[in-house]
Amino acid sequence: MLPGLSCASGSKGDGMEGFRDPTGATRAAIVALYMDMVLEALAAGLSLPTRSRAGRAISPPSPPYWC
Amino acid sequence: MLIVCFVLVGRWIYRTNANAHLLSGDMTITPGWAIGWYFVPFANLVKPYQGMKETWLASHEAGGLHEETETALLPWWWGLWLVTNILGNISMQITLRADGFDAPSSQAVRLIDLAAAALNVPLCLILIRLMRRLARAQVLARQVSAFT
Repeated sequence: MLPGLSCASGSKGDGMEGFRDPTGATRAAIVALYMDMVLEALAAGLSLPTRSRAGRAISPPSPPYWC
Repeated sequence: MLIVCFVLVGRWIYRTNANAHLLSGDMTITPGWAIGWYFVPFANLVKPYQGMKETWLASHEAGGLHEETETALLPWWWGLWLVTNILGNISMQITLRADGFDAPSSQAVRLIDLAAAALNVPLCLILIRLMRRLARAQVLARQVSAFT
């Protein structure tokens, strides 16, 4: 980009007066998406019983070692 | 977090759609409707995708990125979005219809939620890639228009 040329908003007369650089909005949305992805994966992972917990729940208690 | 995501992604959709209107005369969906269609039953299965596709085409063509106008990112993003939403609806319906604590239902809901969370990862990654490429195309298109 040439010095002095900004793409943050359109220059007068070029028909791009309403143009707004999407970089900032893109960055903010991307951060939110990363956070959502991680939080949802964590929430799903925490709600699922671990294999050892599930195994303990369905198997009968083992007898004491002296039996 | 979901609401924050909706607001920020919605703002991004609005802004890129508004920019695309300045870059091309072929846009049929306005920035307001690019968001609004998400809330209209049945139309929300097609129209938001159409809006995003128009924005993508207008931005890439204006940026001179003609070889990138055809992309698999858009159908993958939309397909995953629909599937995760359908799974979310099924999970909610089962939860609402379950009478008290029902072990098979709660197990099914747990599995559906897990599947939705697993699909949410590629969905978010594809959307992030799509957003980066679209923003880059618009910045490029703005620079091209400044010189022509």
